[in-house]
Amino acid sequence: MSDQVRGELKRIVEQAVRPVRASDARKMQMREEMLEHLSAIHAEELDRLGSQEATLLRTRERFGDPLELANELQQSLPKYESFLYCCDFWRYRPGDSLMGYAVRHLVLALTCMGVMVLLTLPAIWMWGRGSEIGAFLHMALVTAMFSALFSASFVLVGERMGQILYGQGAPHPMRALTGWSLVSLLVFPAATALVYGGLMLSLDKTLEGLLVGCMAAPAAPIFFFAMAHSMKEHIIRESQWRAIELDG
Amino acid sequence: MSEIQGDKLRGHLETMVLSVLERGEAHGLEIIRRLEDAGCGLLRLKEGSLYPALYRLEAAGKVAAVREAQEPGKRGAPRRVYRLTSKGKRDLAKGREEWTIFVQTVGAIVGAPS
Repeated sequence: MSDQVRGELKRIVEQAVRPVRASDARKMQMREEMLEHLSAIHAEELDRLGSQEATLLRTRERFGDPLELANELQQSLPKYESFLYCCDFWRYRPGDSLMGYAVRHLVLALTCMGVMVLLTLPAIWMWGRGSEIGAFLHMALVTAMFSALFSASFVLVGERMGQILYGQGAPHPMRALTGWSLVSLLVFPAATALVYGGLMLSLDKTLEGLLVGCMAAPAAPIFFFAMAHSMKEHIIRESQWRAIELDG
Repeated sequence: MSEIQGDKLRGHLETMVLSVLERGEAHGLEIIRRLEDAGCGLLRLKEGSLYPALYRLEAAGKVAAVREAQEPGKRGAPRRVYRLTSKGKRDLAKGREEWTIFVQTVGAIVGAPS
């Protein structure tokens, strides 16, 4: 089967699957399963009809209207899939603004920490340690800032490197990869500086922490390359499906 | 005789799928083939509509799906093969019972007893 025909079949599948509110994993499973089915129909009909154009038309006809199918697929899914769909909103998608993505993660981490703090406060009060609430809030704020910045920079650098290597690419991939590797060198020193500085430890302690962060820095590009590589298959598949343009 | 398709099958598709899976596990296309063979050429399904039915059955625990081992050199993802679970078997028996009552009742009303 030519790439062009496969592309046409993928477009039919994508018309049915893209509007469905389900997790990315579930949607990918649907896409792959239905594409296999469509490919088999196409092979059968090509043997019978011979002409490529007639075969595609007949394949579409046998498969049914993709928009109707999208509705049926949505109704067939358990309710938790809609919840997972919302959770996937926090994931990076090809074409997303990197800054927007990093901010989404920052907000998510801060919200999670905020909820945890709110749940813990009454317990601290009940144990008669109300006087320590100020220190607790300070610690919670630093931890929230640390986890938010760390999570945002991790996903930002890791995903970006993955996209350059295996996804939508970049106009100058080598330059982009070098740039992001240099950015990644800042992650560990910045994280340690934030923790030590945020906790207002002594200057000596802070400098000591910063030194440890700087020593760990060269490991960051390797770590992010490995992270990007581990996402290779996922990024390639996701990018191919997302690149399909649908009418309307 | 005219073909049976679309709306006439609504509500019965899931029981029919369970019934063809009783003969053994199968992937989507094979399920369609079995349904059409059993329908003696009178049954015409929009093949895409099989999948929502399969996903509903899977979510309800009436069928279970496993990925088939990938053939070497084959392009694309490995196929998912569906098999009937014990819950599916019980549901199929119930579906058959309900169908018999339905046919007897409606048959008597429309003047075409089974």
